[in-house]
Amino acid sequence: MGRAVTQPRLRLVAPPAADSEALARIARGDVGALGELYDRHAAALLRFALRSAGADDAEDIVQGTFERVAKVAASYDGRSSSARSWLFGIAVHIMRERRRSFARLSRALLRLGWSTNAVAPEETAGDLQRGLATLREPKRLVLLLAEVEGFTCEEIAEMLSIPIGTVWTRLHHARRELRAFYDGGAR
Amino acid sequence: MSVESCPRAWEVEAARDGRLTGHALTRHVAHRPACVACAGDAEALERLARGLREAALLEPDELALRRLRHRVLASFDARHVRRERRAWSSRPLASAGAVLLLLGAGMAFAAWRARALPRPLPPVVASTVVVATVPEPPPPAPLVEAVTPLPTVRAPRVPTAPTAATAPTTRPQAAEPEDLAYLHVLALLREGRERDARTAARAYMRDFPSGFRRDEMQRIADSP
Repeated sequence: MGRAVTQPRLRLVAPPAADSEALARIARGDVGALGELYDRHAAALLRFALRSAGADDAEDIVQGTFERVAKVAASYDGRSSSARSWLFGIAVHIMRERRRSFARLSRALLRLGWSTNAVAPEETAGDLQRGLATLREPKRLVLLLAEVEGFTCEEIAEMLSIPIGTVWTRLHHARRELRAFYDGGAR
Repeated sequence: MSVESCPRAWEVEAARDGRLTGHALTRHVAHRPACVACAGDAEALERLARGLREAALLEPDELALRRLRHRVLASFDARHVRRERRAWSSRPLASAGAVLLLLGAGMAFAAWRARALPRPLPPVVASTVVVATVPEPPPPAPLVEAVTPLPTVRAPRVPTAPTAATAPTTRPQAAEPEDLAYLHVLALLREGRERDARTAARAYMRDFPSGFRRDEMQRIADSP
């Protein structure tokens, strides 16, 4: 809503009925419907996963997302928007689960005296990506969902199951930190 | 120009995030072009967002998407096949369960029916009922007439001995004169009284010239 003030965004989304229908077919075991849903949303999901989790995990996150979708397709309630925000919500959950298990593994490795340098967040090319990597994950996710994927704050709040005030706060801090990263001479 | 130079700078982000609505939003939209600080802040936010969106290095390539698509669909297929297999492997068990259930239900129904339905009447009562409902056969008067010429035969022995008790009720048709005459001949043969049987057979031929056992009676009558 506020976004329209500064720059109207074009959001390429499938008609809600198409996603609902595809999900209903997926629930019945129709692999073709999963292919259709993948073709509509996979590129955006993969891009989001690349930016928020890095190239090493992105494909696994997207695959995990669609595998989860196949399991829980019957629970999709056909909400007003397309399944896009629902899919991104699943992707965020997958990301968190992976992060938690990664953290457990890291702690276990540390206890064993192993170095965790090999699994440290990667630094990819580009200042923006480096700046993003400095953000904590909750802020990074909110920033990417809002500024890159074009979700409204209400959608993000629903997706992440957090109050909308928390979304606003995280978004504000993420922008401020990223701008400070630039201004502080990231180069 | 720093953001802090305008006391309304916070409105830039608030408008972008949808926190400003109605009048507040209208006033901000009117204010922004005239304020260098707010306009600059809005431009900085947009530049940041554009930079994030246009990080071309992170665009997924088509090959990766295709590879991933194959993995996703193969995984779905494998899962579906596993589920189908499980369903098939559990089907015989389900069938056996269904058969057992049906058997149990059948037995329960039979038990209920045995309890619920009235017991069958004793034979005597049933016989009474049958006799009462079936039209009474004509009196055996012709039999007496038919048998009378045969001095060696006693009327009570005409029906076959083992069925005598039930004949009146179970076979009411046996009371027909022709039947009785035929049975009389048979009884005589069974007792070995062949001469009397021949005589009775001739009597049958005489009394029932169109009887349907005529051929058999004729053979007995003509037997040596």
